[in-house]
Order: sequence, then C-alpha cells, then structure tokens
Amino acid sequence: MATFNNQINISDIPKIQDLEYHPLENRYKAALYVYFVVSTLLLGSILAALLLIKQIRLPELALWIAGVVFTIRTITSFLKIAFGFKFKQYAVREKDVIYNSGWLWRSSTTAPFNRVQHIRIDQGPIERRFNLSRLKIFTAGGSSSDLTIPGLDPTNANKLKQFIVSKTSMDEEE
Amino acid sequence: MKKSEPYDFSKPTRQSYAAILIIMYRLYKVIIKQLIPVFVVLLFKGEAMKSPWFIYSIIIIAVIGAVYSIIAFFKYYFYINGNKLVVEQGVFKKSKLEIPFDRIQSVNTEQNLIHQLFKVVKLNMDTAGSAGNELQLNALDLTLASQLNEKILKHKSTSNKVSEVKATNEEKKIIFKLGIGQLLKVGITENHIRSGGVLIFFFFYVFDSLEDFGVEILEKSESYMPIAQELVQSLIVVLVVIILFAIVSFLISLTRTVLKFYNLHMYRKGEGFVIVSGLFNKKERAAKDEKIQSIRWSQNLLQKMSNIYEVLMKQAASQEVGEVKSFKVVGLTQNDVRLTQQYVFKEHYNELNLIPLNSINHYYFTRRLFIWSYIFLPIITMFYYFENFSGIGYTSFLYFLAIGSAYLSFKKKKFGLGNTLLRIDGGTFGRKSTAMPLFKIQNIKISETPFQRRRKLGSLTIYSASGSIKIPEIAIDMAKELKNYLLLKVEISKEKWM
Repeated sequence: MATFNNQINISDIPKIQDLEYHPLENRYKAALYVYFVVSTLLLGSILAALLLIKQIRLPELALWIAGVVFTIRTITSFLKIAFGFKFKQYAVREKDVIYNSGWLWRSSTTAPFNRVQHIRIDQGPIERRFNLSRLKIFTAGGSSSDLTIPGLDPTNANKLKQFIVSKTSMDEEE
Repeated sequence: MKKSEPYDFSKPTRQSYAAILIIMYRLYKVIIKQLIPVFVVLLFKGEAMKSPWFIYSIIIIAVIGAVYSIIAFFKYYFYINGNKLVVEQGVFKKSKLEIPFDRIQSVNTEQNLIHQLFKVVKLNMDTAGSAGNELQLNALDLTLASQLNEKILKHKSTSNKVSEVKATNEEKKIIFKLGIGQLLKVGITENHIRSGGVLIFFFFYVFDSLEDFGVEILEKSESYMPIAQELVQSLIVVLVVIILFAIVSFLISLTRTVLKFYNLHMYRKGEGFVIVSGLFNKKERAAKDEKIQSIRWSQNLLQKMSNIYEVLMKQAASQEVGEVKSFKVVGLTQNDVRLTQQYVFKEHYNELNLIPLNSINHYYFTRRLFIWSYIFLPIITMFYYFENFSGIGYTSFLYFLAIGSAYLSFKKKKFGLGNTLLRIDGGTFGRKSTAMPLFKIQNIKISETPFQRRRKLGSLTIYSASGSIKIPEIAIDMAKELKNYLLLKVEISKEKWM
C-alpha cells in the first residue's frame, strides 16, 4: 500500500477531458429512429383508440393533456436522436471505462475496472436487425449507476468485454 | 452462554415447536393485511357481519392457515453437512438450500413477543451472494441457537483470518447504551412531521379502500352536514383538529421510538459492531466494519436543541445485488459519535476533522429562488387581484418558507475531499454529515443541465455500494478535477471495499 499515501501532483493526475472518445456505430442512429417510429406509432394508436372508441369516455381535459404530452414526447425524442446522438461516445483507458451521453442534459459516467462486478452483452429485436450489441457493465453502485454502452458492433462489444474481464481478473490476482 | 450437551447438528433437526405459532402468526398477518379493506367495508355495511357465513368463512380460513402452518413446520428441517448448512422445506414445492459456512457473513438474531414467551430466537444468516440466498430459522431454542452460532463462527475462525479468532474470544466492549431518560428524549425529538405523514397516509388509505368498495363517505356524512357546516366554519374546530393531529402524531412517533429503541446498546465484537434494541421485538444485528460503506451523523432541529445525535451506518448487504442495509443508532452524544467514527475509519479518523470544507456555487440558491418565485409570485398576484388578503398571507408565508429553507440548505451544503476520506455536509433546519472512505467508491458521474452549462457548472455524483452522494452545483472544471482525483484514488487502491 506504499502507493496509497504518497502525495500526488495535481498535474500528474490522468485527465478525462484530454481523451479521444469513440463514437457509436452510425447504424445505431438508424436503429434509434426505427425504435422511435415504432414507439410513436404504438403510443399514437393507443391515443387514437382512446379518441375514437365511443365506449371509452374520458374527460376532455385528460385527452388534451395526453395529446400535449404525446406531442412533446414525440418532438423531444426525435430531437434527442437527431442532435444528441453525437454526444453518445465512450472511451476505454488502462484502468477504467467512460461513457458520455445527453444532448441538453449531459452526463459522463466512469467505472473503474477494479470495481466491475460482471459484464453482459444484450441485443434487443431491433438491435439484432441492425447487427448491434449493447455492453452492460455492472458495479455495486446500484442500478442507476450501471454503465451501458449501446450501439456497438458485436465483435467490438465482445472484444471490449474480454478486455475488461481480463483487467478485472488481473486485479483480483494481485 | 449456558453450558449444555453439545448438540449433534449433522442429523436433521426441526425448529422449536414455537415455530408453528410463529409461522401461523406470520401467515395470519399476511391474510389479515390483505383483508383489511374488506373488513372496513363490512363494518360500514353492517348486515354482512351478522350473517353466519361471515363467521364460517373466517373459521375456515383460520383452520386452513393453522393446518398449513403445522405441515410447513414438519416439512422444515435443517442440518449441517460437512461445511454447509442445509435447509429443506416446502409444503407444495420442496426446496433444498445449501449454504457454505464461508459465505455466512454474520448471524443476526431477533425475538418478538412470541419468541420471548417461548425462549426461542429467530436467526437471520447474512450471506454474501445473490438475492434469495438469505437464510432464516424462525424459531430455535436459545441454547441450540448459540451453539449453532458458535459452530459457524468457529469454522470461520479456523479457515479464515486471525481477526476472526479474536472475534470469538474478545470480550464485548460497550460503546453506547441508551438509558430510559435518553430514550424518552429521543422519542420527543423525533421528526413528528413524518409520523403525521404516516397518519395522513393511513387516513387516505382507509378512505380510498372504502371508495374502492363503493362506500361513499361523502354521501354518508352528508346527513350530518347542516350541523357540521356551522361547526367547521368556526375556527375552534379547525384548531382542535390541528392540535389533536399534532398530539396524535407526537404520540405515534414517541411510541414507535420507544418500541424500536428500547434498551438500545451497541458494542464491539471482533471487527464490527453489534446493535441490540427493541421492546416487543428484540433485535440483535451485526455490522462488520469492512461492510460499512459510509456513515452519516445528523441532528434535526429538536435534536440540535437537546444536543443528541443520530448515526446511520450504511452497509452493502450483498456483493451481487447491491441491496442496502443500514443500521440506525439514536440518542448519541457527540463523544459517542466520535467513538463510532474512530472504529469505522480507524487510522483515517484523524483526517475527518482536518478535511477543509468547500461551499458549493451560490447558483444552487439562485435557481431555487427563481423557481419558487415563478410558482408563488403569480399566485400572490392573483390573490391580490381578487382582494383575498388571507390568501396573500398564506402564500407569502409558504413563499418565504421555501426561499428560507433553500437558503439554509445552500448555506449548510459543504463538501470536502481528503487523502482517504470524503465528507459531505448538509441539512435545512437540522444538519447532517456523511463521510466515506475514498476506496469505497464504485463509480462516478458528472452531469450537467443546460442551465448549468451556461454558467460553467455541473454536479458530481459519487456512487457507493450503499447509495450515492451528490455534490451539486460546482464549477465544471472543478468537478472534472475532483473526478480525476477520485478515480485515481480508487484505481490505485488495493483495499477491499467489502
């Protein structure tokens, strides 16, 4: 534990902001659009059903609110894909992995390898069509802090997983 | 510990017969909880209660429950097989649970009234592993329980580290004991508003379930309306209701505190704390130092005036699931708090009071000021327009309360990073501080709203296995620097976070 108490020069600390980030696969943007269309159609048809089926009578105000919420959701989720996609990026360093996302509300999450519990590769039905995978990295920090990198090429996702697994197992041997 | 014949645990053993009662009690509790709305409705409807079918169905449910409990009892047994504790159980579906001693992290005991009556205890085995692997033995004779406990501990001490050996031999070292006087003080200084909330919640719950079953309270009460209307209008009734509400809330929180923290004491055992408390439901729980992720000490306004503290030790329950368990200890003096901190942070304790504390950006307050103004000023203007002066009074009061508490919480929000510890202070009317060793950090997030971006601000969220800590509204460059520093600390650390 000799390294633990040494004084650290602030300029020596590795800086996150100097990193070169990898963008997600471009086809993930297309997948997001498909997902957007599907979910909008689904929500829209529910809304239409509420309007058209005469047996269901909702107060007018409720319908107005539902309509406004639906419109806002549709616009913002479209803009989020159109403008927010380029902010989705990741970087892997020697000892941790970083994922950035968000268009207006931005966030950047970092998970050190020596805290990773396990890693999973997921693929939803739309992602499968586009040949994409998402890498989920679990730490003990709770579900809200788990790091998910979507829109990866399956081979890349596998490589990344192998890399992180090798790093974590190395850490345990020390 | 009583001396008695060592029990042979390798043969399948049933629990004490008292377990039948306990299983039955728990089963009935579940059934009754489900049926409460029905009972409430029946009470209102009246006639159904008199029908013999009502009594028959209650008897049938009770008998089925009793039979089920007896079968469950006879189908449940445990034994030790090599280094494993095995439990077989199941009425309809058989299940066999094997837990290696190595994975049992601590054994907690609990005694409710039935347990105390029959001199048995409930054992809760805390395991490191995935959810559902938690093991409970509902009722065991005291001597049997202590023998089993000892056996598990002994095994751990032979197979594990030296520190565990100490655990069995070392004397209990009492850190803190809550006397009756102190207990009452704790009860009186509780957060009574919270109990009030529970009261309101309960009221709405009953109200809601009545409406679900088609009983219209408003209709029923309408017949009393003419008299009530006159009364309600008089201020006295309102005052009486408020005072009654306050008294009931106060009594609820006082009773709850006394029941929960009766005979509270905390002592050291090995490398951890043992916390005992409870009047009808006696609990003995173990918190190991290495599992404690962070510790919070706090005072609400009343506690501040009577100079007592509350300590919350947050612990990661199991490595896989990230389920959080925390231990609350109340009525501590400042010295008790210090002692606890010393045990938790050990050689890093000295740093705790040396860490320089920084304020956050004043925008934290400014933003809240704007938000509350956007909400309240139009309302106040509206009241002014309608010349409703009492309305103006009430909303202005709420407005100033909101602004005032935003200002207080801004003033008290402080954070500090040391060489090995992290500390966050906060609170509105009271105050609370949280500290945690840096190597317990799991991951870190920087977030930035569009409003923050204009001012080059951001928030830093630090996740641990026992929840997250947020440092809101600091300069984004500083947030990044802190993040880099914390990451470095985590990444070079070789200490186990659990």
